[in-house]
Amino acid sequence: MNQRVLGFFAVLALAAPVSGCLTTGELGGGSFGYACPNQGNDAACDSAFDGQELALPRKVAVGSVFSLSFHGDASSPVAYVVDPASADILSPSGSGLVFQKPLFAAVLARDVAGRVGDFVHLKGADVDHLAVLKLSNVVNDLKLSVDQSVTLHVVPMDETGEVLAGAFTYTWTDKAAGAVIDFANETDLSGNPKSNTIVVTGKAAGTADLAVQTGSDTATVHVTVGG
Amino acid sequence: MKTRNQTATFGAIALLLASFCLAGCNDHIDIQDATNPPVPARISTDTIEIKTGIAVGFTAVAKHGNDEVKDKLVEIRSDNPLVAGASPTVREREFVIYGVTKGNAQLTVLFDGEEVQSIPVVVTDQ
Repeated sequence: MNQRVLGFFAVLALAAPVSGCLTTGELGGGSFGYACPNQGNDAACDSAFDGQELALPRKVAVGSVFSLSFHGDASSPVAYVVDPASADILSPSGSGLVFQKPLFAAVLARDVAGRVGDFVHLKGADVDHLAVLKLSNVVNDLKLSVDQSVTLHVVPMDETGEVLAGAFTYTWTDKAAGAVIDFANETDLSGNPKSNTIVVTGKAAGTADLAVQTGSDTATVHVTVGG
Repeated sequence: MKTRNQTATFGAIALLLASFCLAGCNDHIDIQDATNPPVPARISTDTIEIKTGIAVGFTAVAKHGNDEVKDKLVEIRSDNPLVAGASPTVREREFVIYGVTKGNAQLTVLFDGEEVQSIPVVVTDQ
């Protein structure tokens, strides 16, 4: 593996202490973290603060973007790059990684000499549908009063209804064009808009269909605003 | 006549010893402590069968016959890294092999830079 190619392969990490519970590599040589560079758009990072690293999720959505880091033996601080075993299954994208197929993919943490500090397998999964949540409940119909606000959150799910990790960019559309409701994206602690989370406010009595889309997947919430 | 018989006997013994050495005195590795990938792989010094995207780590125990060899540098290289990758780890004599794309490759085992063993690898789709 030449160094130029390695340079593409995502996330650079130093052996340094991190907070939280990470995932031990399969050789026992270090820990992998699922990076949440900002809170927005990744269901796995909903409860994380900016920059926090989490244990690896069970499944990551095909087509979503995510990042991993590796922390090797703290007694010998070394920089590692995270390198997918097969780009046909898991490929680099900018500073992150993207599953191309719903399969297992090994990710190797390499030092500058190409030696492996450790590795781990991740599972990619196809998005079967989007679900819009109010708190943790799936919502298809929403009733609001004028000036009442609720927070809605969209997550990708596989065919078993399991929430998938990985960031998408979501687009919300009000088919009543603002006559009945207003909505705005929430922002994370750094002020970045979270396209997977909006605050909806009743504006005038009537009904509206609020749709959210990413790629070819769409979910719709029927909103009724009472007088 | 007696000399001829002795020569034949010595020859047979030498041939027998040589055949024993061919079978067991060569430099080679034994594979130990292979990891368990989520998709099964067959890992042995006769052949390796692994799926694309899957990695297996193991310890290579260097041997001469049945005796462990501790003073030689052990390397493992793939002749076709676009099909099967082979990388050393940061720990001595520990390696990772992984399937990249469907196809065939050969792993070459070297002791102090000298080729001692070849292991065929078959990579298939998950």
